[in-house]
Amino acid sequence: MNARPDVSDRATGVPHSLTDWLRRSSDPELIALFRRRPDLALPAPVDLATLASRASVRSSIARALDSLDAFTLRVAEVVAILGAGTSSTAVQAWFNEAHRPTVSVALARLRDWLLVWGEDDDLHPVGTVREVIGPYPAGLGRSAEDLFGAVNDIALIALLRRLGLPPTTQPTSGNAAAAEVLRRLDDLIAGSDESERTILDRLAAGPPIGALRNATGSGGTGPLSPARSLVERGLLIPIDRDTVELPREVALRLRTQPAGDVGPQPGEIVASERGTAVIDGGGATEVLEIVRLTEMLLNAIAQDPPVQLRAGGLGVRDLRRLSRTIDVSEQVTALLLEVAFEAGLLSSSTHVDPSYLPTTEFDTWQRRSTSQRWVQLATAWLAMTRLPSLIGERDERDKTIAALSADVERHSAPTLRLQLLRTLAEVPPGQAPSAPDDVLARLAWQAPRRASANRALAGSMLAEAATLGVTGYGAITGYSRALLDAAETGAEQAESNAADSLAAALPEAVDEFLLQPDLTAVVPGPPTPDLQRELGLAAELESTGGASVYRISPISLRRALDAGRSGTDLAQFFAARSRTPIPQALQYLINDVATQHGRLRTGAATSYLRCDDEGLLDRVMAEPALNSLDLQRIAPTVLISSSGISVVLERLRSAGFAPAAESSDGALVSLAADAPRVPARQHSRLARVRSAAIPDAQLSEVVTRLRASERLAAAMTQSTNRVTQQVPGVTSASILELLRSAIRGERTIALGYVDDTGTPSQRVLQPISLGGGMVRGHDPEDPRLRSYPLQRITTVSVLED
Amino acid sequence: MTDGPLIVQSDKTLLLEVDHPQAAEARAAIAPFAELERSPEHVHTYRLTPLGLWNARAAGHDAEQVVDALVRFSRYSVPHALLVDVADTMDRYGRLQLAKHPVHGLVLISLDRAVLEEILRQKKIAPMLGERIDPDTVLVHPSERGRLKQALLKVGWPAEDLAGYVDGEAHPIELATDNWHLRNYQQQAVDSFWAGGSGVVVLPCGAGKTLVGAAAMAQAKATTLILVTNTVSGRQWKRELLARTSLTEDEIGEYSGEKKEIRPVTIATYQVMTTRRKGEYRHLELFDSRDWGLIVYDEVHLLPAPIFRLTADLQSRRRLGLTATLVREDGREGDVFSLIGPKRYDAPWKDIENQGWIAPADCSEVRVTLTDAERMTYATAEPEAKYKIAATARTKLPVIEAIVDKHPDDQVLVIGAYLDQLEEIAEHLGDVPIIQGSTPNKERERLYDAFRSGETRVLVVSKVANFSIDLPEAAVAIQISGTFGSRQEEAQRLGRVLRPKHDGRQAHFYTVVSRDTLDAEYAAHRQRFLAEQGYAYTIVDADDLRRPL
Repeated sequence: MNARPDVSDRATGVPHSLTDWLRRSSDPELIALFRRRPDLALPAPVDLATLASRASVRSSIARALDSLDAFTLRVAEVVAILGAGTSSTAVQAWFNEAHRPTVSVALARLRDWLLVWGEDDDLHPVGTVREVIGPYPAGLGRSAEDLFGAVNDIALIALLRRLGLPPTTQPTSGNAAAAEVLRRLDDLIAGSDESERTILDRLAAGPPIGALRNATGSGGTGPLSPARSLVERGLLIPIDRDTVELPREVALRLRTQPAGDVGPQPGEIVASERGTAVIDGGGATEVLEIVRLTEMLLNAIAQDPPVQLRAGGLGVRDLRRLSRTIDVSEQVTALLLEVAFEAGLLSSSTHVDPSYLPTTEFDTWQRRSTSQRWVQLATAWLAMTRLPSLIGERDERDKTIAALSADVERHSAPTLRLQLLRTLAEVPPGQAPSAPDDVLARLAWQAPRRASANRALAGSMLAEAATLGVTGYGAITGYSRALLDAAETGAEQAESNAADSLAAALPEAVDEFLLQPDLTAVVPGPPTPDLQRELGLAAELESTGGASVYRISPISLRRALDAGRSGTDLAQFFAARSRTPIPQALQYLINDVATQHGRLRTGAATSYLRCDDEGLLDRVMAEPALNSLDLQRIAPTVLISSSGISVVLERLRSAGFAPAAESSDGALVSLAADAPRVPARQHSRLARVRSAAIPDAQLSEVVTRLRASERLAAAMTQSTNRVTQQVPGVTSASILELLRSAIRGERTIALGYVDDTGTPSQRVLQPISLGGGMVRGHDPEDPRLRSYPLQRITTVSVLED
Repeated sequence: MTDGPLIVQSDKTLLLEVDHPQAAEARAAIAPFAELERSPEHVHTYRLTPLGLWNARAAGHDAEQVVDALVRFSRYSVPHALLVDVADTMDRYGRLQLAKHPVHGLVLISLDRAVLEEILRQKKIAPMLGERIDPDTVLVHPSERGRLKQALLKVGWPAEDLAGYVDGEAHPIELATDNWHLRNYQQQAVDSFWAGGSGVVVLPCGAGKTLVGAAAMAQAKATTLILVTNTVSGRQWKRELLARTSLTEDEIGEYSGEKKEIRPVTIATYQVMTTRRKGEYRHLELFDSRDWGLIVYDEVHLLPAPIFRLTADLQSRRRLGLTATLVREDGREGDVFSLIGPKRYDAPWKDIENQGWIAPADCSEVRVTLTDAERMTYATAEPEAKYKIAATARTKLPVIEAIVDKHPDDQVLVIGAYLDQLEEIAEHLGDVPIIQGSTPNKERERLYDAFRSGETRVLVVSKVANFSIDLPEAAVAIQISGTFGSRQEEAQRLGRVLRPKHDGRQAHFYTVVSRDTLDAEYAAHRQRFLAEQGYAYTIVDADDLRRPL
């Protein structure tokens, strides 16, 4: 890499290189570029030349091309075909008249993305654009000359004969065949029948290669297959045993638009009018369900915490068990788990064997309103770098991908999700797409290079959106539009807007139920949290949806009593909340269950003390020294204590009694102290990485620094006598020498310096001393003493005064 | 969002709020495709099942109508997934058709070749199909018609049966409507049965199912085979047919353990049909002995397995199933539907009661507290003996007596499951007659007649009287023990007292149970069916009952 800027002809204003092109960009343009292609800004480039070479790197170009829509990509491909030095007019010639104005827009976009540089009359594809686009730009094959040139002589002889050309050898034969075929191209095409024409058209649309068994061999004696006949006539050219390719010239002749069948607008999304109320209502139905299911799922997890797999994640069996408990498919359960985890409602415990448990955040979440609860879940889903749809699939080692495991991580997920929702949001409010395929096709147009990989993922994301109530009847709901704004702008206000708009769409909560003689209670709408909690305690939930149906049974009533409700409480609760009178059977049931409840009593005791002699126990009870044992008499001959056996023994002994310890079968035992242990070390939780947008301030700093180094470099080219460059960490003799001479001559130097985060920068220094692996000195504008470790210095140049 | 009476649940049940002004309209709209599952006082539960949706398709309703009904009457937004599912499910019906081919006879025709390919590859279905005549038509052996339909239903591609029915041997039968006529609901039941060809009619006990059978016969005007549960009920059928139709004594035959008559109308018992001699069902030939134009299955919920198998072969004949309670404790309701036919008519008990066709009934559960000694015996008994000990506790005897005394002017039936208990109670009530399994048919008839005429006021019966015994004037039934938690037994027993009384009196149904035992638990389970039909049980303490009023 050459650190010097290229020399440009400032007088004529024509840029000669990418670096030069960059130098002419304004600060805002550079900032915009960094925003589009963040990988160029991190770590901060030292100077524009570094930036230029980084922008030409294959992986960076690929990433940039990935985010282009189908039309812009096609324009980029045409530029790549035409090669460096082409003009916008030449590019436009590849497109139909109607599309030409949009080509300029696309070219401007390509310049913005730094995939093409140069003025309209001198366009250059940046760096590796051509390679990254692949062997068939714009779906076109190689030229006839190239293709025929690669065919071996023996295979070519038959064709040459058919074309009436003399037998020769390569390269003459190839060139001759190519020229002859191209000359007779129109006749050859006109002479093909319908099935041949179909093949030609398909290959012309791209990609230009097709499979043909034994393509290089002869056609045999029978009637020729259409593909074979095309090969015989030289319209298709075999490129290996089983593949044929359509020459570029043939494709161009067949195409109505040279660049192929690509328009500047994506396909229409056919939508039908549903009305915003219907769409929001449909979504709201799902919202209620999802919030309820999440709560149920997390409660089920708290009841019986599933253990975290050694490799991270939740076992298949646990997933199946949870899905049965909440009565939804495993796919939906997995989605709920991932969303709850992302929303911070679920985490793994830090025990020796970590298991999953709801977090304290779950308790906070439960106290929020339904709409707020949903917004929290939906926001988590939007930003989630995980793809729940992968759960249950097989990974490359044929292992089932577990929920909550690292295998579900995909960094591109949030981008794709946002893109998908944005696509849905393009449909006017109140209309619902008739077929999800239209939406997926639009998405494919927006990012054609990732289309095939994304299609399945986007399909399952659409399904997830429907499950979560982000969409209703296939259309994005009003409140989700607000949420999308929140995700894009990061504004808190938008999030609360979403919650408000959802709250308006949700049916009003119901605070009463209808009791029926068959001991069912029907809540005819979404229950208030309070009602849901109380009724859920006293009755079994049987069916959910628009309403909730509960069945009251002795078991459910007992559960309520176990939770501390009394029989009267329950009777009052039913009487107060029921719109219909309490059936007599229920009253009896409550009484029956309540009278039987609590006849057996239990309590905690750590040890007991028994003695057949009641008098001795009286003495023990009366002994003041034993008060601390907290003795209670539960039967004439039995005392219990909350202290452990060893303490009881010791206190009794010191109070002058002679107790002995016994095992459960009454045998005397001696107690040995337990050897002390500490708990094992904790497993660390999986580290989670997240990509975040780079703040503007940081970007402008990068640009400022670039400009500084440019100025410095410019100054140096005029004044430097020596520039040394080295591999970081190796202090070369020349650097030392240069430094020493600078100290001696009290000269100012420019240092190339890499700081401890690996970010390179340029510093100006008046060195004072050298030693201990450091060079010390001060900035000419700042009298404070600074020191730089020698191993971090990459270049040194002495500046002229 | 409307404020409709219907709430759609995610488990595909539909809740209908009965007191809503639009309730009747909504009920009419959803009845064709949703099955009524429970009808307690305030909120009725319907269920959407594939079977129900396909039946609706078969009856000419389309998915759009179903979706429209749901959306129109639903209070909240109907989940999109559910609507899509409804449409998908209904779309599966009729891709395959069973039809009569002029040359090849019975054939399976597919309107969607992929479906045909799929089912041809099903291991269970392929053997039932014959030669493939053309890409869309496969030969079916006529005897496989029923089994094939059943199998196709199981794999979710129900066939539309267009092959029709044989008319059978014609025989003139008219209803003799001199001084009576069919009730509205009976007429509707017959009409929808006839329109559908075959199927099950569900009507409460005492609502006149026999007349639905008779009217169907009058409609078919063909020889008829009637299958009933026992001889006594067979004779009741005969009496009723003689009284209500143009049929004469000579035209009706009885095929039972005692007589083997085969006449244009033959009444056979399930028992004799399934009697085996040397491992063979000898009497199943009866099905082929005449060219029957109609087969009536009385109490179809009791249909025994061998008859199921045979019914599969009878798909070309019209079949009518009659029952009050289509709950089979063995869970084979599905087989009833696929072999006899789908449910063609179902009326909630309370509706019929409100129209005055069955007597209003007052159901009580009388709770008896066991003595300490009995409690101890119960507590220490083997688990399998516990129910019997609780159900047959002697403490029940004085309570039963008190109930009988409480209704001095009514005919009382005491129904139980354990013979020694029945004998005990008969003795306790002063040697009242008992009818049980071992009682000869002649003696049974005599006792029933005596009871009908009022000569006998109290009759103790075992479970032989659970069904089909017509005792119009019985107004009080006391259930003292039962077959564990059988829901349909409870309903059938209530049915014994539901015949409308000549003076419009209320019927009383008592269940005597031992408190805090398995007896009480089973009783709760038994009551579920009736509770779901809207009957509210009053709980009475035995001590309150015995106190002089």
